[in-house]
Amino acid sequence: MRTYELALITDSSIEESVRDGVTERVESIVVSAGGSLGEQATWGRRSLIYPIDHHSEGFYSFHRFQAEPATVTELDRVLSIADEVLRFKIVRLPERAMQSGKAPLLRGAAR
Amino acid sequence: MGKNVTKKRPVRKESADALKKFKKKPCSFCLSKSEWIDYKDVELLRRYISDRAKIRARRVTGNCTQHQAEVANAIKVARELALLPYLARPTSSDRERGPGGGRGRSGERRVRNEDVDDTVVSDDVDQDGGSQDALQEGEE
Repeated sequence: MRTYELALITDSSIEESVRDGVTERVESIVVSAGGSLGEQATWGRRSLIYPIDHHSEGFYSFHRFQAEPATVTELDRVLSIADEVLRFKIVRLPERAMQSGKAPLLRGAAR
Repeated sequence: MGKNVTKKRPVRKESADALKKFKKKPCSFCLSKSEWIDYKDVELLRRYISDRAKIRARRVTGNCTQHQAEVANAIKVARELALLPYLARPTSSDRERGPGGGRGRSGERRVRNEDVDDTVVSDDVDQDGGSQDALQEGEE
């Protein structure tokens, strides 16, 4: 089991229910593969530094989870197909920092 | 000639000492014992990029090898997530139009000059070059 963090930028113009659908799909993939979800943070609407697919704004959310490496490949596949997702990135968090609690999830910074 | 060289030697030694003192700048991440440089911490990462959004060199930031690599990696992740720019124009108006008029080749040259400004620590290089020049002159 390894700890990962998923950064998700979804279309800011879509409805809340559609966005929840994306996170639910992520959750079900992680849980069904035997992983578990951790903290999450929502920054909300934030202007992008440069336009992505002609969007100047995105909805930022971050999800931490524990899973096997194979789960990440599956998430990669699903998220790259999802239309609502402008961009995503899954980062592996270093074990040492997780144990010492030196990698807190930043919550603020919504601009 | 030999007299001149011996005369110049103590000067060179002094400048070498000054260099040594100058380089003793501890890595800020080692001081804070950080184990994870967060790509979401935009305010922190902005300190390590230039006004053209280039990653600052280690000799400018004073970071150790490991932390410089981690900072650079965090900046690259933040760029992918549109939290930091890949490139930016300096905002100040005096840079907008240089002596060349602001178009064509003169503009290109200006960019190159600014690149040099960004990366070179003037003290470091000047001291070294200056003392060598002085030595050569003395020998001649």
